[in-house]
Amino acid sequence: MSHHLTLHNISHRYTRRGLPVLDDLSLTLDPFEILSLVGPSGCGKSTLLKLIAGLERPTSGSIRLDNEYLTGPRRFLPPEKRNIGLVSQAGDLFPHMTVEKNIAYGLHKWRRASRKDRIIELLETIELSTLAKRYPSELSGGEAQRVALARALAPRPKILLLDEPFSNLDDGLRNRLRDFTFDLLRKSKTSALFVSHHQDDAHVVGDRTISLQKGRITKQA
Amino acid sequence: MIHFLKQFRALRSHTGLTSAPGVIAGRLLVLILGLILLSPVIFILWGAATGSHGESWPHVKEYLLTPALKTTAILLIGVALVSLLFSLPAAWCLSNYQFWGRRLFSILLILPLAVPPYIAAYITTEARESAIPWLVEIRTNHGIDTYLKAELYHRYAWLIAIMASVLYPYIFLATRSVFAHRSRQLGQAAQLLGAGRWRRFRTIHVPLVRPAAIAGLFLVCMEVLSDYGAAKHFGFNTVTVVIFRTWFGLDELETARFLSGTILAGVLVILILERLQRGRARFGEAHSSIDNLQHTGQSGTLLCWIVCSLPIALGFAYPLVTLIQWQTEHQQNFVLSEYRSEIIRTTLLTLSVALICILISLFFLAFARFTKRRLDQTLAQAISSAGYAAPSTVMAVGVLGVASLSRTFSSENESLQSLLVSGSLIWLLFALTSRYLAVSGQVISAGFQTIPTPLEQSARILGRKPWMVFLTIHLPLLRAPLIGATILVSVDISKELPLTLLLRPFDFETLGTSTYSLVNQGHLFASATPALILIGLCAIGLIIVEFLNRKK
Repeated sequence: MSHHLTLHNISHRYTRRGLPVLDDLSLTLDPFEILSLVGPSGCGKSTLLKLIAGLERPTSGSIRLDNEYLTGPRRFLPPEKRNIGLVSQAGDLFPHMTVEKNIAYGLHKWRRASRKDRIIELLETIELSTLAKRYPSELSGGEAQRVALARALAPRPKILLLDEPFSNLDDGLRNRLRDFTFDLLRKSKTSALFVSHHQDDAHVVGDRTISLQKGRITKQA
Repeated sequence: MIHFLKQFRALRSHTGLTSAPGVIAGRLLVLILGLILLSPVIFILWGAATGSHGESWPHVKEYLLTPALKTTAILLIGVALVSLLFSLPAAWCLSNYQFWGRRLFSILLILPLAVPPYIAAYITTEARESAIPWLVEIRTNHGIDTYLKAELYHRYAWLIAIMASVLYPYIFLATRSVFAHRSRQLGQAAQLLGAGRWRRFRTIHVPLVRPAAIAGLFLVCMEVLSDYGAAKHFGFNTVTVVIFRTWFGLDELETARFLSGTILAGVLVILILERLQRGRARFGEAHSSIDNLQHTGQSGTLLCWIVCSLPIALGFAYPLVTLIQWQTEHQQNFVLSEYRSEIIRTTLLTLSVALICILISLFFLAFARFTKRRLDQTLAQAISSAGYAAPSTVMAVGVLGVASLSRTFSSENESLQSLLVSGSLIWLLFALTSRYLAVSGQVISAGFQTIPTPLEQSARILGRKPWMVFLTIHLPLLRAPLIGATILVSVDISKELPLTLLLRPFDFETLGTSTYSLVNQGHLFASATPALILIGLCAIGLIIVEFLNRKK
C-alpha cells in the first residue's frame, strides 16, 4: 500500500491577528518513507500534525493524500474520515477501557472475527498479550506507549503521525522503543511523519530529516 | 444573504471539527432552549424595564418595601458573616491538620445542607420561648421601647445563627479544595522565602481563597433571598415575604412583577460583579494529599474539634435531636406509610427535574465542547446559570406570567390550553428546571474539564463521528459527575419551598410542603415526621456524593 502526502503552501495562525505558527510551508511524504521533523519547541511541529490529522483547519493552503484533497479551498475532510493515525506524547489512552478495548476502538467497522484476529496480532507484535485485560492506569509508561502505537496502527492507517511519542520515557527505554517502532513501520510498510526535538533521534531513524524553525523549513537532508 | 454566507464561511474555517450546518443547527437549538428556559426571567426584567406596576405600588413601596429592604439587608449581612465564621476555620483545620476524627468531620460538616432553612427555623421555637421570662423582666424594668428592641434583636440573632448554621456548607465546599491544595503548598513556598505567619496569611491565603469564598457566599445569599418559610415563621417581612403578600394578600400580579424585577436586577448586578472579581482566577483542583498534613498536639486537637463541631452541632445535631424529641414525645409512633404518597411525589418530582436538567446541561456543554468556540461556551454557561440568579419567589412570578401569556396565545387550541393551565404540573417542572439547571450545569461542567481534549481527538482520528465520541468517551467518563448532579439537584429541589408552594397543582403535597402546611396550621410537633424523612433522604444523598468525590 503506497500513499503519497502533499502539503502545499500551508499557513496557519490561531488568532486572526496573531503571528503565523506555520508560514507558507510545503512538503511531500513519499510512499514507504519515514520523514523526521526536528525543531525547537514552539516551532509549529505539533500544529503541522494537527493540520494533517484534521484536528485544525489551516488558514490557507491545501493538503492532499494521493489524489484526494483532505484540506483545500472548498473542502475539509473531518478527522474521522481521513484514516490517518496519530501517536501523541502522552499516549492518550482511554482511561475507562482495557488495553484490548483501546486497540479495538478504531476497528468499529471491521467484522467481528477479523477484529478479534487483528487485536490478537497487534498484542503479539507489541509483546503485551498478557496485559490485554489491564486498564491504562495499571500500565508502565513504556507499555502505555506501545498500546497507543498498536491502537493507532490497528485500522491500518494510510499514514502514521508520531508526535514525540517517546519523550516522556527514560533514555534506554526510549531508544529501544524507538527502534522497535520503526522496525514495525518498515515491516508494515507504513509511511510516517515523526516529530521530535531530539536531533539524534531523528537522524538515526528517518529516511529524510527536515528542520523546522518559526513555522518555516530551514534545512532538508 | 451575502452576510449570512460570509458568516457561514467564517464559521467553517474556525470550527474545523464539526460540519457547519451541524454547528448552525446546534446553535439555533441552544438559542431556542435558552429563550424558553429564560422566558420567566425575561418576562420579569421586561416588566421592570417598562415600569408598569399596579395601583397599590405607592402604598407597597412606602409601607412594605422600604422596611423589607432593610430587614433583608440585615439578614443577608448577618448570615454572610456568621456563615463565613462557621465555614472558613473548619475548612482550614481539615485541610492543614491531621487530628483524630478528621475524616468523619469532613462528612459531618456537609450534612447541615440536608436541613432546609425553614425546618431549622421551626425547631428553634421552644428554645426561643424559654427567653420569654427574661424579656418580660426587661419590659417591667426598662419600659416597652427597650423590650421591643430586645425582642427584635433576639429574633434577629436566632434567625441569623440558625440560617448560617445550615447554609455555611456552600462556602465550606467551595473553599475546602483551595485550602487543601494550592494554599498549603504555596504557603510553604512563601515560608521558605522568609514570609512570616501574618504575611503568608495576607499575601497567600486570603487572595487564593477569596474567589472561592465569594462564590460560596453568593450561593448563601441567594438562599437567604429565596427563603420564605423561615423569615415568615420569625415574623420578618423580607422582600420575598412582601412579594408573597402583594400577590396573595393584594392579588396584584403587576406589583409583584415590578417588585421581582427590581430584586432580579439587583442580583444580576451582584452576579456580574462576582464574575468580574473572580476574573481569570480558576479554582485549583482538589487533590488533597494527606502526607504533609501537620500533626496536632492535644490542645491543637481540642481546638480543631471545637471549630469543626460547633457548626455541626448547631446546623445538624440540634435540629435532628429536637425533631426526634418531638417525634417520640408528641407522636404516637413513627408511621412511614402515612407519608407514602408524599415520599413518592417528592422523589418523582425531584428525579424528573434532575433528569431534565442533566439532559439539557449535557447538550449545552457537549455542544460548547465540540464547537470549541468561545461564544458558544459563554452562551451555554450564561443560559444555564442565569436562572439561578432568580430567587424562588421571583421565578414563580415570572413563570406564572409566562403561563398566562402562553394561554392567550394558545386560546384556539383547547387541548393545548388545558395542558397549560397554571395549576398544572408542567409549570412546576418548568420553573424548577430553569432555576436549578445551574446546579447540574456546574457539576457536569467540572466533570467535562477533567477529560483531556486529546482523548476526544484520538477518538476522532480513529474514525468516530462527534456524537459517537460523546457516547463512547465522554458519557462513560462522566458517570460520577452525572450521579453527583442528579443527587445535588434532587436535594436542592426537595428542600425548596416557595416555588413548589406557589406552583403545585391542587392537593399536590411534597415532604416540604406538608411540613410547612402542618406548621402553618399550628401542628408544630406533627411536622416532625415529614421533616425527619426529608432530612434523612437529603443526608443520605449528600453522603453518597461525598464518597463519589473521594473516590475520584
